[in-house]
Amino acid sequence: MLDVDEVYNILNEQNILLAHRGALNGDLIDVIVQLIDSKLAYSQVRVRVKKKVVNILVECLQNSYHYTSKFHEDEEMNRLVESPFLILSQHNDAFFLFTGNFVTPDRLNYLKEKLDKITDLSEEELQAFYIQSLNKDTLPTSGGAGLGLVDILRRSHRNVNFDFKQIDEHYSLFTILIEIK
Amino acid sequence: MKNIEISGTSKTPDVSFDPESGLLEISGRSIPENSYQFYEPLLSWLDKYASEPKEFTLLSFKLDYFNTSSSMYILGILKKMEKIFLAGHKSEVKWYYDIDDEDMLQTGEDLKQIVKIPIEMVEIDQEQV
Repeated sequence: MLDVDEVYNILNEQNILLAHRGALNGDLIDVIVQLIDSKLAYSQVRVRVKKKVVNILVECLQNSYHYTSKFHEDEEMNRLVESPFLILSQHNDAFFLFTGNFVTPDRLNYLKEKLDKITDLSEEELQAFYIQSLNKDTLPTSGGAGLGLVDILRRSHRNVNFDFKQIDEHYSLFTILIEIK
Repeated sequence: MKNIEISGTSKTPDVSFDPESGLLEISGRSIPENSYQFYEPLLSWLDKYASEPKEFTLLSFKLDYFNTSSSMYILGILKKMEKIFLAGHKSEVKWYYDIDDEDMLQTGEDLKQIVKIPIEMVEIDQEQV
């Protein structure tokens, strides 16, 4: 049975601005971004923080969306499609964005390789890597630019914790915890 | 050559490209899931415009938000402008950023490093607007 007091206390104590779990699509991302944009506009959050929160939120949601939506038509992949989650909370001047989704073993390896290249870079190195990656001869014709994770690291000044947790033989849960201030 | 007038949405920017005046402007937010669909027509337009540009071309970016896939197309647009500039036509880019938006300033600085056309950074203070 749902304990109303308990649920309210969690929302209250954790200062949760938004919690979502489930399949993502373009319209839903639009609604989430507008909701947060409007919530932050009413609070006394500095422009630089507000812009960082919204930009990082967009990058996270679109990363999840681009990956999981490839499996929208595949019923066997339903658990992965429904796996994206997002919690945005505020503690004093800082915002915490906790987000993630299930990934297949292939994707897990791809992400680990990618993260190995970027997580230990200094801010200056990250900056150089970003410019180098941006300045490619070919433009992406569908989906993301593959720059999302680099951008999240840059904008948050590397206050990011990436993690993987094995769920079963099919999936791992890939999570990103970001502090924005 | 026709001008381009596009009204912004919650995900895509306002666009005004006027071949008669040489004034081009992109403003608002650029966070579409698929940037190719939105930006491809703008790149094609610029290819045509570059073959017969006005005496002076001014491109202004006044963006609130943009995602990483848009940033690659924004660079694509700047590379078209660079061609116009390197062909000897007077041209300039203005990159507007909010005084408190360090990321927008940083991106402008990054883009400056990549292309050879002059990019002027223009600070705006939204609280004073």
